Amino acid sequence: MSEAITEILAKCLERMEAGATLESCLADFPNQRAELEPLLRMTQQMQRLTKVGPRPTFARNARLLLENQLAASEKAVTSKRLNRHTRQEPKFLPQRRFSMSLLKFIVSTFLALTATTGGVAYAANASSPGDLLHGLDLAMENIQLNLAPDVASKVQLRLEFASERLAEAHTTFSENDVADGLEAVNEYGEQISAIAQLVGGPGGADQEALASLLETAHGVHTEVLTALLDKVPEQARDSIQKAIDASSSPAGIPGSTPGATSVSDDVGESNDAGASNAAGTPEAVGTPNGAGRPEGVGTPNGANAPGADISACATSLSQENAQALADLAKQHGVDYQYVLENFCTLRTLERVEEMLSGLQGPPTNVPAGPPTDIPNGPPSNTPGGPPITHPGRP
Amino acid sequence: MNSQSNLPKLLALAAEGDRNSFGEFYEFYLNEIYRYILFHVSDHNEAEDLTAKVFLEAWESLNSARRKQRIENIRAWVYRIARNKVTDYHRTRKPQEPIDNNPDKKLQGAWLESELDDLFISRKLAEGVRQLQANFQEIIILRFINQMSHAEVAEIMNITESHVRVLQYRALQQMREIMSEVTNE
Repeated sequence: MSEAITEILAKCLERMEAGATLESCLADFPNQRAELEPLLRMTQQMQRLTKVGPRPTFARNARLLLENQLAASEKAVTSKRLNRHTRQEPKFLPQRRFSMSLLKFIVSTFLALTATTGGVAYAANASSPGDLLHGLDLAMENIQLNLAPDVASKVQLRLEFASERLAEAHTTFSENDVADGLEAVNEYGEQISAIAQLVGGPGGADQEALASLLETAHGVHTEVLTALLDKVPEQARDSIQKAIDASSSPAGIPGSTPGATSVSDDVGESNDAGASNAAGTPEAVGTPNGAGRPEGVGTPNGANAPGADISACATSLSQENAQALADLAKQHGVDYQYVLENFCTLRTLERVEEMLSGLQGPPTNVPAGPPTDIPNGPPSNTPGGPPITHPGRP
Repeated sequence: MNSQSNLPKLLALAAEGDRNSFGEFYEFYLNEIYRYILFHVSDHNEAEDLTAKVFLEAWESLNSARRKQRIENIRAWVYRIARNKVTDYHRTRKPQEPIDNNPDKKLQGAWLESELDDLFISRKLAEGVRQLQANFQEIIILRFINQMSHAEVAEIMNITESHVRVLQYRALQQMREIMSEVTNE
């Protein structure tokens, strides 16, 4: 009797919403148990969807943007009165289907907002380094990155994360928390470094437009960092200055800075890195250099960037990781050295895999063995892998 | 943090042109309106844009010279605006525009305060919701995702409570069928 069951179901749901258990409800309606139980369990499953909410960046900035938009829409009303035929629906945010000009607009607007004192204060409502929730925040950012469909989306996300780190640095330094402030600056460096890799990669995006976008972003970042420089204690100024240097000359971005430091400057196997460029690898691809990631920035404790010494990294590589990197190289059809360098920079297999996926999308026509033009294939259970050479990326 | 009881006051101030009060009102409803829209459009960019448009329209409506009568049910009022926006969105969507059926792309960027396992199951559920017929989808989103009462749903959908209960039962049945297919894929 479907009518009766609809009422019973509604009663059970109302009782459960008031705190009763599913079992207690089923016990009261034994004859309908078989039909009720899967439906009630379905509603319990759906409770997890109640956690879905807007992206933190949107949520944090939405009100500020809305209030600006309200002011703008009031002006638009005046315009409408002047010309009824040109009515245009006010847009709160531009469409974010990928378009470089729009993306550039969004990022520059966002950064401009965070560059102002109010914007920074507003954006800094998130957890900061040292907060209990900060690790969770970073984990969630990684989930977002994993869900991003293409390089442009990843760049956009990483720019947002970089701006958030700057806002956090601003807040923590304002609270005289130097250690957490420096950590936020380091994390900012990590984002800039990752962006340099993404932009240098063959993601199918308009490289010139991306480079232009990043220059805009870096310009605003530099302004924020410069403002920060005057507010931090003496011991933090060196790190901030290095971050400013990084933002001022975003090397690794094709065409952005003439004479940008090449990958060979910072990577142990410099000559081979040069060979890589000659072989067609975009300059600084996959290997953030000194300008993209300043010394002491992007690495805890102010140490040199992990990518700065590939040899040391390779030597200390575990057999398990070496094999995993070889598998990744094979899976994505890139050379082992390229994957190794990225691992040494990004530090986790997950990030390397994410980067490779972002650059190339799902692997297709993956060759069964190592690429034939790679003289040094995957490691043969040797910690440290093969000798470091740059045969070039496919 | 504002409570439900403060909302009429906030709206009254907003109707006088107080943008800050409207901002507080906006923050109160942001998550649930965004969620409601997201599950209808399955694209977080679109959901963000539409969410913003809902509140812009609410603001314009509040400040309209024509609005003289008091808003009886604030939540239902906001939802009705959102519902209209979603309807407009689907109506103006180009017919040839393909609907993305890749479940991995569902809810891209949507924020789930849960672990990865939860994320996986949530994606499947979201995919199931998206496959429901329109009125069932509406019932499921309002009742179980945004956790509204039978009475609230009835008011928003402009139907009787008994009709809500019937639709709810049928929607859950269809959802169950879809989920058994989705999980067996």
